[in-house]
Amino acid sequence: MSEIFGGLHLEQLLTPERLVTILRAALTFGVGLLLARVISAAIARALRLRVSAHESMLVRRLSFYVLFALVVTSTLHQLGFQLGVLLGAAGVLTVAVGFASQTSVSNLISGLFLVAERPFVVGDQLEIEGTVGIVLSIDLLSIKLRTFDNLMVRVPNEMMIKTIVVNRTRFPIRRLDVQVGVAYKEDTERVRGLLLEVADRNPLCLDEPKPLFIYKGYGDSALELQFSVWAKRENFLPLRNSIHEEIKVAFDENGVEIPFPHRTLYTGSVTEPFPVRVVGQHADSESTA
Amino acid sequence: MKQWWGEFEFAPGQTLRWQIGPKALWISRADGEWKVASEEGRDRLDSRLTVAEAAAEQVGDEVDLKRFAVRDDSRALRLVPALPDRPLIVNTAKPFFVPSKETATLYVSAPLWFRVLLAGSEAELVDTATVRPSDTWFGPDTLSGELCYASRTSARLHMEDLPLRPHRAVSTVRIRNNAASTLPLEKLKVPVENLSLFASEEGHLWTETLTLERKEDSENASIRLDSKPAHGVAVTPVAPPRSKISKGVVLDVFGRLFRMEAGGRR
Repeated sequence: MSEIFGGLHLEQLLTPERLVTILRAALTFGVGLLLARVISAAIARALRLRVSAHESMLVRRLSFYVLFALVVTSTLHQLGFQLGVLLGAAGVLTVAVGFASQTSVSNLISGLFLVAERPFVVGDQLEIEGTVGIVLSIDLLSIKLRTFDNLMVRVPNEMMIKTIVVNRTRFPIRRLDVQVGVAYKEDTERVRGLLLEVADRNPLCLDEPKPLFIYKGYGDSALELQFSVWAKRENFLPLRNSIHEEIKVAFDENGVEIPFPHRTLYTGSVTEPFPVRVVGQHADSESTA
Repeated sequence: MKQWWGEFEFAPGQTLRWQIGPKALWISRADGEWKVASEEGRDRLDSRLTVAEAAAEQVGDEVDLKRFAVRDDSRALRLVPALPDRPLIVNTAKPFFVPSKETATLYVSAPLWFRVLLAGSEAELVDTATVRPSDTWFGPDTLSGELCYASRTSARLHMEDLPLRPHRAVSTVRIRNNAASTLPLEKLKVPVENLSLFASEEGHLWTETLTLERKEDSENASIRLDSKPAHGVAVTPVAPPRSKISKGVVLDVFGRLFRMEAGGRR
Protein backbone atom coordinates (compact mmCIF):
# COMPACT_ATOMS: atom_id res chain seq x y z
CA MET A 1 0.00 0.00 0.00
CA SER A 2 2.67 2.41 1.05
CA GLU A 3 4.85 1.61 -1.98
CA ILE A 4 4.67 4.44 -4.45
CA PHE A 5 6.87 5.82 -7.23
CA GLY A 6 8.66 2.58 -7.97
CA GLY A 7 10.17 1.43 -4.71
CA LEU A 8 10.22 4.75 -2.91
CA HIS A 9 8.52 4.22 0.42
CA LEU A 10 6.25 6.81 1.95
CA GLU A 11 7.68 6.04 5.36
CA GLN A 12 11.12 6.95 4.05
CA LEU A 13 9.87 10.18 2.53
CA LEU A 14 7.84 11.32 5.53
CA THR A 15 10.04 10.80 8.51
CA PRO A 16 8.68 12.44 11.67
CA GLU A 17 11.39 15.13 11.53
CA ARG A 18 10.56 16.00 7.96
CA LEU A 19 6.86 16.08 8.70
CA VAL A 20 7.49 18.56 11.51
CA THR A 21 9.62 20.72 9.21
CA ILE A 22 6.94 20.77 6.51
CA LEU A 23 4.23 21.51 9.04
CA ARG A 24 6.30 24.31 10.53
CA ALA A 25 6.96 25.78 7.07
CA ALA A 26 3.24 25.56 6.17
CA LEU A 27 2.38 27.24 9.45
CA THR A 28 4.95 29.99 8.83
CA PHE A 29 3.53 30.54 5.38
CA GLY A 30 -0.11 30.58 6.48
CA VAL A 31 0.39 32.80 9.53
CA GLY A 32 2.83 35.03 7.63
CA LEU A 33 0.36 35.54 4.77
CA LEU A 34 -2.41 36.37 7.21
CA LEU A 35 -0.17 38.79 9.11
CA ALA A 36 0.96 40.45 5.87
CA ARG A 37 -2.66 41.04 4.89
CA VAL A 38 -3.66 42.34 8.31
CA ILE A 39 -0.63 44.61 8.68
CA SER A 40 -0.88 46.13 5.20
CA ALA A 41 -4.62 46.73 5.69
CA ALA A 42 -3.92 48.33 9.08
CA ILE A 43 -1.27 50.63 7.59
CA ALA A 44 -3.66 51.66 4.83
CA ARG A 45 -6.46 52.29 7.33
CA ALA A 46 -4.19 54.38 9.53
CA LEU A 47 -3.18 56.48 6.54
CA ARG A 48 -6.65 56.80 4.99
CA LEU A 49 -7.54 60.02 6.76
CA ARG A 50 -4.28 61.72 5.88
CA VAL A 51 -3.69 60.68 2.26
CA SER A 52 -5.86 60.14 -0.82
CA ALA A 53 -7.56 56.84 -1.65
CA HIS A 54 -5.00 56.40 -4.42
CA GLU A 55 -2.00 56.74 -2.15
CA SER A 56 -3.43 54.58 0.61
CA MET A 57 -4.03 51.83 -1.97
CA LEU A 58 -0.46 52.11 -3.21
CA VAL A 59 0.94 51.91 0.32
CA ARG A 60 -1.23 48.89 1.02
CA ARG A 61 -0.05 47.07 -2.10
CA LEU A 62 3.58 47.91 -1.55
CA SER A 63 3.65 46.90 2.11
CA PHE A 64 1.87 43.66 1.25
CA TYR A 65 4.39 42.73 -1.44
CA VAL A 66 7.36 43.43 0.84
CA LEU A 67 5.86 41.34 3.65
CA PHE A 68 4.91 38.59 1.22
CA ALA A 69 8.49 38.39 -0.04
CA LEU A 70 9.69 38.07 3.56
CA VAL A 71 7.18 35.29 4.27
CA VAL A 72 8.21 33.34 1.16
CA THR A 73 11.91 33.67 2.02
CA SER A 74 11.46 32.47 5.57
CA THR A 75 9.22 29.59 4.44
CA LEU A 76 11.91 28.43 1.99
CA HIS A 77 14.48 28.81 4.72
CA GLN A 78 12.36 26.63 7.02
CA LEU A 79 12.18 23.97 4.35
CA GLY A 80 15.94 23.89 4.27
CA PHE A 81 16.58 25.60 0.95
CA GLN A 82 19.85 27.44 0.70
CA LEU A 83 18.79 30.86 -0.54
CA GLY A 84 22.20 31.66 -1.93
CA VAL A 85 22.09 28.57 -4.14
CA LEU A 86 18.52 29.38 -5.19
CA LEU A 87 19.51 32.89 -6.24
CA GLY A 88 22.44 31.46 -8.21
CA ALA A 89 20.09 29.10 -10.04
CA ALA A 90 17.76 32.02 -10.61
CA GLY A 91 20.62 33.85 -12.30
CA VAL A 92 20.88 31.06 -14.84
CA LEU A 93 17.16 31.17 -15.40
CA THR A 94 17.05 34.95 -15.70
CA VAL A 95 17.60 34.99 -19.46
CA ALA A 96 14.87 32.45 -20.09
CA VAL A 97 12.50 34.09 -17.62
CA GLY A 98 13.35 37.52 -19.00
CA PHE A 99 12.28 36.54 -22.49
CA ALA A 100 9.16 34.86 -21.23
CA SER A 101 8.08 37.72 -19.01
CA GLN A 102 8.94 40.56 -21.35
CA THR A 103 5.38 41.94 -21.48
CA SER A 104 4.84 41.66 -17.76
CA VAL A 105 8.07 43.45 -16.96
CA SER A 106 7.32 46.16 -19.48
CA ASN A 107 3.92 46.66 -17.85
CA LEU A 108 5.50 46.65 -14.42
CA ILE A 109 8.01 49.35 -15.34
CA SER A 110 5.30 51.38 -17.08
CA GLY A 111 3.22 51.05 -13.93
CA LEU A 112 6.03 52.53 -11.86
CA PHE A 113 6.32 55.47 -14.26
CA LEU A 114 2.56 55.99 -14.14
CA VAL A 115 2.60 56.06 -10.36
CA ALA A 116 5.45 58.56 -10.37
CA GLU A 117 3.86 60.80 -13.01
CA ARG A 118 0.39 60.75 -11.43
CA PRO A 119 -1.63 61.83 -14.49
CA PHE A 120 -4.76 60.48 -12.75
CA VAL A 121 -5.82 59.05 -9.42
CA VAL A 122 -8.38 56.47 -8.31
CA GLY A 123 -11.85 57.88 -8.94
CA ASP A 124 -10.95 60.00 -11.98
CA GLN A 125 -12.91 59.68 -15.20
CA LEU A 126 -10.64 58.65 -18.09
CA GLU A 127 -11.05 58.32 -21.81
CA ILE A 128 -8.66 55.83 -23.40
CA GLU A 129 -9.04 55.14 -27.12
CA GLY A 130 -12.80 55.54 -27.02
CA THR A 131 -13.34 53.76 -23.72
CA VAL A 132 -14.65 55.99 -20.98
CA GLY A 133 -14.65 54.89 -17.37
CA ILE A 134 -13.84 55.62 -13.77
CA VAL A 135 -10.50 54.40 -12.39
CA LEU A 136 -11.13 51.59 -9.90
CA SER A 137 -7.55 50.68 -9.15
CA ILE A 138 -4.00 51.19 -10.36
CA ASP A 139 -2.18 47.88 -10.15
CA LEU A 140 1.28 46.59 -10.95
CA LEU A 141 0.45 45.40 -14.45
CA SER A 142 -2.73 47.24 -15.39
CA ILE A 143 -5.30 49.78 -14.39
CA LYS A 144 -8.93 48.81 -13.98
CA LEU A 145 -11.74 51.01 -15.21
CA ARG A 146 -15.45 50.79 -14.56
CA THR A 147 -17.38 51.98 -17.59
CA PHE A 148 -20.75 53.70 -17.23
CA ASP A 149 -22.58 50.59 -18.42
CA ASN A 150 -20.92 48.84 -15.47
CA LEU A 151 -18.28 46.79 -17.25
CA MET A 152 -14.80 46.26 -15.88
CA VAL A 153 -12.11 47.18 -18.38
CA ARG A 154 -8.49 46.22 -17.80
CA VAL A 155 -5.99 48.45 -19.55
CA PRO A 156 -2.32 47.30 -19.55
CA ASN A 157 0.03 49.91 -18.08
CA GLU A 158 2.20 49.76 -21.19
CA MET A 159 -0.72 51.02 -23.27
CA MET A 160 -1.39 53.83 -20.78
CA ILE A 161 2.17 55.05 -21.34
CA LYS A 162 1.97 54.78 -25.14
CA THR A 163 -1.44 56.22 -26.02
CA ILE A 164 -3.31 59.45 -25.42
CA VAL A 165 -5.24 59.35 -22.18
CA VAL A 166 -7.84 62.06 -21.53
CA ASN A 167 -8.55 62.82 -17.89
CA ARG A 168 -12.02 64.35 -17.84
CA THR A 169 -12.11 65.21 -14.17
CA ARG A 170 -8.73 66.82 -13.58
CA PHE A 171 -9.91 70.43 -13.74
CA PRO A 172 -12.89 71.78 -11.83
CA ILE A 173 -14.86 73.27 -14.75
CA ARG A 174 -15.58 72.07 -18.28
CA ARG A 175 -16.76 73.65 -21.50
CA LEU A 176 -19.68 72.30 -23.46
CA ASP A 177 -19.71 73.07 -27.18
CA VAL A 178 -23.20 73.16 -28.64
CA GLN A 179 -23.18 72.89 -32.43
CA VAL A 180 -26.21 74.61 -33.87
CA GLY A 181 -27.21 75.45 -37.43
CA VAL A 182 -29.75 78.13 -38.33
CA ALA A 183 -31.33 78.97 -41.66
CA TYR A 184 -29.63 81.59 -43.85
CA LYS A 185 -32.62 83.92 -43.57
CA GLU A 186 -32.19 84.32 -39.80
CA ASP A 187 -30.75 87.43 -38.20
CA THR A 188 -27.63 86.13 -36.43
CA GLU A 189 -27.62 89.02 -33.94
CA ARG A 190 -31.05 87.91 -32.79
CA VAL A 191 -29.95 84.27 -32.65
CA ARG A 192 -26.95 85.28 -30.55
CA GLY A 193 -29.25 87.20 -28.19
CA LEU A 194 -31.56 84.20 -27.84
CA LEU A 195 -28.68 81.84 -27.11
CA LEU A 196 -27.17 84.16 -24.51
CA GLU A 197 -30.57 84.50 -22.86
CA VAL A 198 -30.92 80.70 -22.68
CA ALA A 199 -27.48 80.47 -21.04
CA ASP A 200 -28.36 83.27 -18.64
CA ARG A 201 -31.55 81.54 -17.57
CA ASN A 202 -29.91 78.17 -16.91
CA PRO A 203 -28.49 78.19 -13.36
CA LEU A 204 -26.00 75.40 -14.11
CA CYS A 205 -24.40 77.42 -16.89
CA LEU A 206 -21.56 79.48 -15.44
CA ASP A 207 -21.87 83.24 -15.66
CA GLU A 208 -18.08 83.51 -15.89
CA PRO A 209 -16.23 82.36 -18.00
CA LYS A 210 -18.72 83.99 -20.36
CA PRO A 211 -20.46 81.84 -23.00
CA LEU A 212 -18.72 81.93 -26.37
CA PHE A 213 -20.48 82.49 -29.67
CA ILE A 214 -18.50 81.43 -32.73
CA TYR A 215 -19.27 81.48 -36.46
CA LYS A 216 -18.14 78.15 -37.81
CA GLY A 217 -18.87 78.88 -41.45
CA TYR A 218 -21.41 78.72 -44.27
CA GLY A 219 -22.68 75.18 -44.39
CA ASP A 220 -24.53 73.39 -47.16
CA SER A 221 -27.92 74.18 -45.77
CA ALA A 222 -27.35 76.21 -42.62
CA LEU A 223 -25.25 78.92 -41.04
CA GLU A 224 -23.08 76.88 -38.74
CA LEU A 225 -22.63 78.28 -35.26
CA GLN A 226 -20.95 77.09 -32.12
CA PHE A 227 -22.21 78.13 -28.74
CA SER A 228 -19.85 77.21 -25.90
CA VAL A 229 -20.92 77.32 -22.28
CA TRP A 230 -19.08 76.43 -19.09
CA ALA A 231 -20.24 74.25 -16.23
CA LYS A 232 -18.89 72.72 -13.09
CA ARG A 233 -17.65 69.25 -14.12
CA GLU A 234 -20.27 67.48 -11.97
CA ASN A 235 -22.99 69.47 -13.73
CA PHE A 236 -21.69 68.83 -17.25
CA LEU A 237 -24.23 66.16 -18.17
CA PRO A 238 -27.26 67.91 -16.62
CA LEU A 239 -26.26 71.11 -18.45
CA ARG A 240 -25.79 69.26 -21.74
CA ASN A 241 -29.28 67.81 -21.49
CA SER A 242 -31.02 70.95 -20.31
CA ILE A 243 -29.38 73.48 -22.61
CA HIS A 244 -30.05 71.58 -25.83
CA GLU A 245 -33.70 71.33 -24.88
CA GLU A 246 -33.90 74.99 -23.89
CA ILE A 247 -32.27 76.16 -27.14
CA LYS A 248 -34.79 74.16 -29.15
CA VAL A 249 -37.69 75.61 -27.14
CA ALA A 250 -36.34 79.18 -27.46
CA PHE A 251 -35.88 78.76 -31.24
CA ASP A 252 -39.38 77.31 -31.63
CA GLU A 253 -40.95 80.11 -29.59
CA ASN A 254 -39.18 82.80 -31.60
CA GLY A 255 -39.59 81.17 -35.01
CA VAL A 256 -35.89 80.57 -35.62
CA GLU A 257 -35.52 77.79 -38.15
CA ILE A 258 -33.08 74.92 -37.67
CA PRO A 259 -32.98 73.74 -41.29
CA PHE A 260 -32.77 70.29 -42.78
CA PRO A 261 -30.35 69.70 -45.66
CA HIS A 262 -31.80 71.34 -48.81
CA ARG A 263 -31.65 70.06 -52.39
CA THR A 264 -32.48 72.50 -55.19
CA LEU A 265 -33.03 71.00 -58.59
CA TYR A 266 -31.78 73.32 -61.33
CA THR A 267 -32.16 72.53 -64.95
CA GLY A 268 -29.79 75.24 -66.19
CA SER A 269 -30.65 78.40 -68.11
CA VAL A 270 -30.79 76.66 -71.46
CA THR A 271 -33.37 74.10 -70.50
CA GLU A 272 -37.08 74.54 -70.17
CA PRO A 273 -38.54 74.73 -66.67
CA PHE A 274 -39.68 71.46 -65.13
CA PRO A 275 -43.21 70.64 -66.27
CA VAL A 276 -45.53 70.48 -63.28
CA ARG A 277 -48.89 68.76 -63.41
CA VAL A 278 -51.45 69.13 -60.67
CA VAL A 279 -53.28 65.91 -59.99
CA GLY A 280 -56.60 66.02 -58.18
CA GLN A 281 -58.09 63.48 -55.81
CA HIS A 282 -59.71 61.42 -58.57
CA ALA A 283 -56.47 60.71 -60.31
CA ASP A 284 -57.98 57.82 -62.28
CA SER A 285 -60.72 59.85 -63.95
CA GLU A 286 -58.30 62.73 -64.77
CA SER A 287 -55.72 60.52 -66.33
CA THR A 288 -58.29 58.88 -68.55
CA ALA A 289 -59.84 62.22 -69.59
CA MET B 1 -43.18 94.80 5.00
CA LYS B 2 -44.66 91.85 6.83
CA GLN B 3 -42.11 89.34 8.07
CA TRP B 4 -42.37 85.90 6.50
CA TRP B 5 -40.15 83.99 8.92
CA GLY B 6 -40.84 82.78 12.47
CA GLU B 7 -42.70 79.92 14.11
CA PHE B 8 -45.99 78.71 12.67
CA GLU B 9 -48.59 76.42 14.26
CA PHE B 10 -50.53 74.01 12.09
CA ALA B 11 -53.85 72.33 12.76
CA PRO B 12 -54.01 68.68 11.65
CA GLY B 13 -54.60 68.50 7.93
CA GLN B 14 -54.00 72.23 7.44
CA THR B 15 -52.06 73.62 4.46
CA LEU B 16 -50.43 77.04 4.58
CA ARG B 17 -49.04 78.89 1.61
CA TRP B 18 -46.25 81.45 1.34
CA GLN B 19 -45.21 83.53 -1.64
CA ILE B 20 -41.73 84.95 -1.11
CA GLY B 21 -40.82 86.87 -4.24
CA PRO B 22 -40.74 84.37 -7.11
CA LYS B 23 -40.94 81.34 -4.80
CA ALA B 24 -44.22 79.76 -3.78
CA LEU B 25 -44.13 77.48 -0.75
CA TRP B 26 -46.79 75.13 0.59
CA ILE B 27 -46.50 73.34 3.90
CA SER B 28 -49.12 70.92 5.13
CA ARG B 29 -49.50 68.84 8.25
CA ALA B 30 -50.85 65.47 7.18
CA ASP B 31 -51.27 62.29 9.17
CA GLY B 32 -47.82 61.37 10.55
CA GLU B 33 -45.95 63.54 8.09
CA TRP B 34 -45.08 67.07 6.99
CA LYS B 35 -45.37 67.87 3.32
CA VAL B 36 -43.24 70.72 2.01
CA ALA B 37 -43.68 71.78 -1.61
CA SER B 38 -42.15 74.68 -3.46
CA GLU B 39 -42.12 76.14 -6.92
CA GLU B 40 -39.95 78.88 -8.42
CA GLY B 41 -41.64 81.32 -10.78
CA ARG B 42 -39.94 82.55 -13.94
CA ASP B 43 -40.03 86.25 -13.08
CA ARG B 44 -36.96 87.07 -10.99
CA LEU B 45 -38.18 90.58 -10.20
CA ASP B 46 -41.41 89.28 -8.69
CA SER B 47 -41.72 90.92 -5.26
CA ARG B 48 -45.04 89.52 -4.06
CA LEU B 49 -45.28 88.55 -0.43
CA THR B 50 -47.91 86.30 1.13
CA VAL B 51 -47.38 84.88 4.58
CA ALA B 52 -48.97 81.71 5.97
CA GLU B 53 -52.19 82.01 4.02
CA ALA B 54 -54.60 79.11 4.45
CA ALA B 55 -54.61 77.10 1.24
CA ALA B 56 -57.52 74.82 0.61
CA GLU B 57 -56.40 72.94 -2.43
CA GLN B 58 -53.95 70.07 -2.39
CA VAL B 59 -50.59 70.75 -3.96
CA GLY B 60 -50.32 69.69 -7.58
CA ASP B 61 -47.93 67.05 -8.83
CA GLU B 62 -45.83 69.43 -10.92
CA VAL B 63 -44.19 71.17 -7.96
CA ASP B 64 -41.20 69.89 -6.00
CA LEU B 65 -42.79 68.01 -3.10
CA LYS B 66 -40.94 66.47 -0.17
CA ARG B 67 -42.46 64.40 2.65
CA PHE B 68 -41.07 64.01 6.15
CA ALA B 69 -42.25 61.36 8.61
CA VAL B 70 -42.62 62.75 12.15
CA ARG B 71 -44.22 61.97 15.50
CA ASP B 72 -47.91 62.71 15.85
CA ASP B 73 -47.50 65.58 18.34
CA SER B 74 -45.31 67.69 16.03
CA ARG B 75 -47.48 70.72 15.32
CA ALA B 76 -45.19 73.69 14.71
CA LEU B 77 -42.50 74.58 12.18
CA ARG B 78 -39.95 77.33 12.06
CA LEU B 79 -39.23 79.19 8.85
CA VAL B 80 -35.81 80.89 8.87
CA PRO B 81 -34.25 83.03 6.14
CA ALA B 82 -30.63 82.28 5.28
CA LEU B 83 -27.94 83.66 3.02
CA PRO B 84 -26.53 81.63 0.07
CA ASP B 85 -24.25 78.71 0.87
CA ARG B 86 -21.47 79.93 -1.41
CA PRO B 87 -19.87 83.36 -1.91
CA LEU B 88 -21.67 85.83 -4.15
CA ILE B 89 -19.87 87.50 -7.06
CA VAL B 90 -21.01 91.04 -7.73
CA ASN B 91 -20.01 93.01 -10.80
CA THR B 92 -19.74 96.73 -10.89
CA ALA B 93 -21.95 98.15 -13.62
CA LYS B 94 -19.21 100.38 -15.06
CA PRO B 95 -15.43 100.24 -14.57
CA PHE B 96 -14.92 101.33 -11.00
CA PHE B 97 -11.71 102.45 -9.31
CA VAL B 98 -10.80 103.09 -5.70
CA PRO B 99 -7.71 105.35 -5.56
CA SER B 100 -5.01 104.84 -2.98
CA LYS B 101 -5.99 105.75 0.63
CA GLU B 102 -9.66 106.14 -0.33
CA THR B 103 -12.71 104.31 0.99
CA ALA B 104 -15.73 103.29 -1.05
CA THR B 105 -19.05 102.11 0.32
CA LEU B 106 -21.04 99.76 -1.88
CA TYR B 107 -24.46 98.22 -1.41
CA VAL B 108 -24.93 94.65 -2.51
CA SER B 109 -28.13 92.66 -2.61
CA ALA B 110 -28.05 88.90 -2.07
CA PRO B 111 -30.85 86.44 -2.86
CA LEU B 112 -32.18 84.60 0.18
CA TRP B 113 -32.59 80.95 0.95
CA PHE B 114 -35.19 79.67 3.38
CA ARG B 115 -34.85 76.85 5.85
CA VAL B 116 -37.76 74.92 7.30
CA LEU B 117 -37.02 73.51 10.75
CA LEU B 118 -39.07 71.40 13.16
CA ALA B 119 -39.90 73.60 16.13
CA GLY B 120 -38.28 72.24 19.26
CA SER B 121 -35.74 69.80 17.85
CA GLU B 122 -34.54 72.30 15.20
CA ALA B 123 -34.10 69.42 12.74
CA GLU B 124 -33.82 70.80 9.23
CA LEU B 125 -36.38 69.69 6.67
CA VAL B 126 -35.65 71.94 3.69
CA ASP B 127 -32.98 74.46 2.71
CA THR B 128 -33.65 75.99 -0.72
CA ALA B 129 -33.23 79.22 -2.61
CA THR B 130 -36.12 81.62 -3.16
CA VAL B 131 -34.50 82.31 -6.49
CA ARG B 132 -31.65 80.07 -7.61
CA PRO B 133 -28.75 82.27 -8.75
CA SER B 134 -26.57 81.21 -11.64
CA ASP B 135 -23.28 79.46 -10.90
CA THR B 136 -20.10 81.30 -11.68
CA TRP B 137 -16.37 80.73 -11.45
CA PHE B 138 -14.11 82.96 -9.39
CA GLY B 139 -10.42 82.43 -9.93
CA PRO B 140 -7.45 83.49 -12.01
CA ASP B 141 -8.02 80.81 -14.68
CA THR B 142 -10.05 77.72 -15.50
CA LEU B 143 -7.66 75.45 -13.60
CA SER B 144 -8.03 76.90 -10.14
CA GLY B 145 -10.67 78.92 -8.39
CA GLU B 146 -13.91 78.58 -6.54
CA LEU B 147 -17.49 77.93 -7.55
CA CYS B 148 -19.67 80.86 -6.49
CA TYR B 149 -23.07 82.34 -7.23
CA ALA B 150 -23.43 85.21 -9.68
CA SER B 151 -25.47 88.17 -8.57
CA ARG B 152 -27.99 89.50 -11.06
CA THR B 153 -27.76 93.01 -9.73
CA SER B 154 -24.58 95.02 -9.74
CA ALA B 155 -23.16 96.77 -6.70
CA ARG B 156 -24.61 100.24 -6.06
CA LEU B 157 -23.03 103.33 -4.61
CA HIS B 158 -26.32 104.68 -3.29
CA MET B 159 -28.69 102.68 -1.17
CA GLU B 160 -31.73 104.29 -2.83
CA ASP B 161 -30.78 102.62 -6.12
CA LEU B 162 -31.22 99.19 -4.59
CA PRO B 163 -34.86 98.10 -4.46
CA LEU B 164 -35.71 96.24 -1.25
CA ARG B 165 -37.47 92.98 -1.99
CA PRO B 166 -38.81 90.33 0.39
CA HIS B 167 -36.52 87.63 -0.98
CA ARG B 168 -33.30 89.62 -0.90
CA ALA B 169 -31.01 90.93 1.83
CA VAL B 170 -28.77 93.98 1.55
CA SER B 171 -25.13 94.10 2.65
CA THR B 172 -23.04 97.21 3.09
CA VAL B 173 -19.48 96.62 1.88
CA ARG B 174 -16.84 99.16 2.78
CA ILE B 175 -13.69 98.93 0.71
CA ARG B 176 -10.62 100.64 2.08
CA ASN B 177 -7.64 100.81 -0.25
CA ASN B 178 -4.53 101.22 1.89
CA ALA B 179 -2.18 100.09 -0.85
CA ALA B 180 -0.09 102.53 -2.85
CA SER B 181 -1.81 101.72 -6.15
CA THR B 182 -5.33 102.33 -7.40
CA LEU B 183 -7.69 99.38 -7.03
CA PRO B 184 -9.53 98.57 -10.25
CA LEU B 185 -12.74 96.87 -9.24
CA GLU B 186 -14.46 94.77 -11.87
CA LYS B 187 -15.96 92.13 -9.66
CA LEU B 188 -16.14 91.55 -5.98
CA LYS B 189 -16.52 88.35 -4.01
CA VAL B 190 -18.80 88.82 -1.02
CA PRO B 191 -18.48 85.92 1.47
CA VAL B 192 -22.21 85.87 2.23
CA GLU B 193 -22.04 82.42 3.82
CA ASN B 194 -20.13 84.05 6.69
CA LEU B 195 -22.66 86.84 7.27
CA SER B 196 -25.65 86.90 9.62
CA LEU B 197 -29.11 88.30 8.97
CA PHE B 198 -30.85 91.12 10.82
CA ALA B 199 -34.37 92.47 10.39
CA SER B 200 -35.08 96.17 10.47
CA GLU B 201 -38.25 97.61 11.99
CA GLU B 202 -39.82 97.82 8.54
CA GLY B 203 -39.22 94.10 8.06
CA HIS B 204 -36.35 94.33 5.58
CA LEU B 205 -33.42 91.99 5.91
CA TRP B 206 -29.86 93.28 6.27
CA THR B 207 -26.48 91.75 6.95
CA GLU B 208 -23.82 93.28 9.14
CA THR B 209 -21.43 95.74 7.53
CA LEU B 210 -18.42 94.17 5.91
CA THR B 211 -15.09 95.98 5.69
CA LEU B 212 -12.51 94.87 3.16
CA GLU B 213 -9.09 96.35 3.64
CA ARG B 214 -6.53 96.09 0.88
CA LYS B 215 -3.04 96.45 2.29
CA GLU B 216 -0.76 95.70 -0.62
CA ASP B 217 -0.91 95.55 -4.40
CA SER B 218 -2.80 92.32 -4.70
CA GLU B 219 -6.30 90.97 -5.08
CA ASN B 220 -6.44 90.05 -1.40
CA ALA B 221 -8.04 91.92 1.44
CA SER B 222 -8.45 91.37 5.14
CA ILE B 223 -12.08 91.04 6.18
CA ARG B 224 -13.72 92.59 9.22
CA LEU B 225 -17.35 92.17 10.22
CA ASP B 226 -19.25 94.73 12.28
CA SER B 227 -21.62 93.49 14.93
CA LYS B 228 -24.70 94.89 13.17
CA PRO B 229 -25.89 96.62 10.00
CA ALA B 230 -24.94 100.25 9.48
CA HIS B 231 -28.50 101.18 8.53
CA GLY B 232 -31.61 100.86 10.61
CA VAL B 233 -31.65 101.89 14.25
CA ALA B 234 -33.46 99.02 15.86
CA VAL B 235 -32.42 95.75 14.28
CA THR B 236 -33.10 92.26 15.58
CA PRO B 237 -30.89 89.29 14.75
CA VAL B 238 -32.73 86.75 12.62
CA ALA B 239 -30.25 84.09 11.54
CA PRO B 240 -26.63 83.25 12.38
CA PRO B 241 -24.03 82.77 9.61
CA ARG B 242 -23.79 79.41 7.86
CA SER B 243 -20.12 79.21 8.80
CA LYS B 244 -18.07 81.39 11.12
CA ILE B 245 -15.12 83.33 9.78
CA SER B 246 -12.02 83.93 11.85
CA LYS B 247 -11.14 87.55 12.63
CA GLY B 248 -8.96 89.44 10.19
CA VAL B 249 -8.79 86.57 7.71
CA VAL B 250 -7.29 87.43 4.33
CA LEU B 251 -9.20 86.29 1.26
CA ASP B 252 -8.94 87.00 -2.44
CA VAL B 253 -11.99 89.12 -3.04
CA PHE B 254 -11.13 91.50 -5.87
CA GLY B 255 -11.25 89.85 -9.23
CA ARG B 256 -10.64 90.87 -12.78
CA LEU B 257 -13.04 89.91 -15.50
CA PHE B 258 -12.23 86.60 -17.05
CA ARG B 259 -10.30 86.93 -20.24
CA MET B 260 -10.81 83.69 -22.09
CA GLU B 261 -8.65 82.55 -24.89
CA ALA B 262 -10.34 83.56 -28.10
CA GLY B 263 -10.85 81.33 -31.08
CA GLY B 264 -13.16 78.51 -31.91
CA ARG B 265 -11.00 75.57 -31.14
CA ARG B 266 -13.16 72.51 -30.94
